[in-house]
Amino acid sequence: MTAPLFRASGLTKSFGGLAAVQGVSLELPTATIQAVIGPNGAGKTTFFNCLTGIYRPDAGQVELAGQNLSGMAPHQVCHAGLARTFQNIRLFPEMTVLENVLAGRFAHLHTTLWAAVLRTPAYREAEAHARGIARELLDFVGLSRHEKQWARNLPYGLQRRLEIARALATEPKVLLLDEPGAGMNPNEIDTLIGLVDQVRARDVGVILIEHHMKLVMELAERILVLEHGEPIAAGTPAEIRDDPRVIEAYLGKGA
Amino acid sequence: MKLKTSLLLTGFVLLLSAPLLWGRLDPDYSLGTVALGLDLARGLEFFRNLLPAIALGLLFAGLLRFRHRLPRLPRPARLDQLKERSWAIPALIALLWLPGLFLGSKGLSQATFAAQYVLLAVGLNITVGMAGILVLGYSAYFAIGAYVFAVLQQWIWLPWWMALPVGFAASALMGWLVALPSLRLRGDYLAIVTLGFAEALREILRNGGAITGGDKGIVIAVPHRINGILGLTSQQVAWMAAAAVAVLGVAAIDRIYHSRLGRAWVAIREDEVAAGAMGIPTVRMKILAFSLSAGFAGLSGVLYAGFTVFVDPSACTFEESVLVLAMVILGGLGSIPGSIVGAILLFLIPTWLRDWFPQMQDYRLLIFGMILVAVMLTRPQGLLGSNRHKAELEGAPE
Repeated sequence: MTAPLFRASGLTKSFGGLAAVQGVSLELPTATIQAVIGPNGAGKTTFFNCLTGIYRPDAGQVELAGQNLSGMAPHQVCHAGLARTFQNIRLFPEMTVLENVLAGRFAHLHTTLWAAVLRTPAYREAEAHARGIARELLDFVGLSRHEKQWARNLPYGLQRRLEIARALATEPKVLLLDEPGAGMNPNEIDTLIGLVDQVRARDVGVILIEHHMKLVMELAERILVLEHGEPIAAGTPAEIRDDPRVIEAYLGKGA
Repeated sequence: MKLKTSLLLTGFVLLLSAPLLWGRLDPDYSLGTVALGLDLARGLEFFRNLLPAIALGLLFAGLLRFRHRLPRLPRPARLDQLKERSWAIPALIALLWLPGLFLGSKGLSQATFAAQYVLLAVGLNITVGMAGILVLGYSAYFAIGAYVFAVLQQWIWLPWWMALPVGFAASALMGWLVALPSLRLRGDYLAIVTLGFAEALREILRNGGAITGGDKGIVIAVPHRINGILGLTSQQVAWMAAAAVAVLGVAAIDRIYHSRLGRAWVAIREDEVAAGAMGIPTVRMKILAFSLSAGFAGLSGVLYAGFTVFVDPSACTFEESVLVLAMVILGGLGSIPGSIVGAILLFLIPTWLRDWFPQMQDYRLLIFGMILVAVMLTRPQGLLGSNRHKAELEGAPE
């Protein structure tokens, strides 16, 4: 039996006396799409922060393609193949759209200080290659026309897409999307659904936190539901839709 | 609008300072009291002396305001293409050398110091401008470069040109050591640590006994200092050396800036958490940035010691650190041309004020401060601190 693409088991993180995430497990056997849902404050983003090394979990293990990611710094997690976007978009505002994606190529550009100073042929080639990849990714998310603009000047929906392109530039095996559809209109949601589907088609697993039910139901093969930091349900969209505990968590008792 | 605000503020500063200027301090030591008397003539004289500076400031502000109507300089994109040519750097050095043959000794020494400040400002810009980490004790690394050269040349044969890489390495190493503990933390810890280090270093230099020469400092031996060769005076050689090192240093920094390292620094400045999540080793990159900054200060220090043939603890003062920081901020954080312009202006303006308006000698710093305030009010992003990315990418090599 081969190791699953991604596995998080028993992740726990407390802040003082508050257990923000408690015993959360999630597994992606292959490059599929899973969703993490739950009411506000359920610990979804904390869960992502534990996965990506921004927080150090108190307990639990994270594995990616058989490699143990526990205790790694954020950049090492990224090198291992786990990339992410942020709930409150965190682009590099005073860099151009193209530079944002190029920044994501850092680990794959092995140019040294000396090569940069001397502008060696190998350096020029690597730089040109990175620009090629970055442009291809911008094309993929539909931002080619905007490559010279400052990231801060992009409209909101496009900033979300740029964040996905930047994360893809790190060549992830699994991509974590933290509320990619937040604040989008129905048209933009439809485009986003197509985009995430194409990401999976590139053989990248996707875990997404989302409130937008259309997005979750259309994309996710499995859904994990958190409430007060604890997993209360997991299953296919159809199972989750009918789960009494999920309905209770979202709508309250007696609904 | 901003112009009006800056004029208002200038007026406000003048109003505040007027009583002090009009007043004449008469300390009476025997009684231990200070009498404040009014001296109308002296106050009027001050304002009369101030007129040229006000005129200069207005001209400057006017140039900024109507800069769109001025004849345009070569477009940055064209400059960027020019920069990529292999002959661009030697040509620029030669172009800077030529006037050195005709300048007088005073002009040459000013140009030499200006080139050293350019190196300092562009070097500091790596940490402060690109990576966005405040540094308050930058002069320490300048002093390390100067002192490593001065101390070593007492014992071994070490002419200034051989000392350049040694000074760079020593300062970069020291910068690395200082940054190592402080840059693991987020925030402005480096500012405090470097400030403390610079203050401590000055005391060490003052109390270093025979090794550092204490307050008296060290004189660079004749064969090791910058001497005249091939019929050139020592001042001409010093200018040529400073210009060449400055051009090569700035070119190196510019190239690093456009590589993945420069992008990583800017990414860290823009959002450190996101930079880490995108695979950029933030701690290592911040330490590298500061270490490089320190190294370029070391280069500048060696040039300084070789030219003035003398170093003492005054090479390591807080005022110097702040002056270089002001150059970077005035020019525009993160902008290499900005740092160059900032360095030249902030070095030359006080010198010109001293030379052209000697009667204003006492108010030099006041006027200097007013110019700084006026510039920052009219252009808070610095003189050349905007649209860097647009300009940069339009001429980017494919």
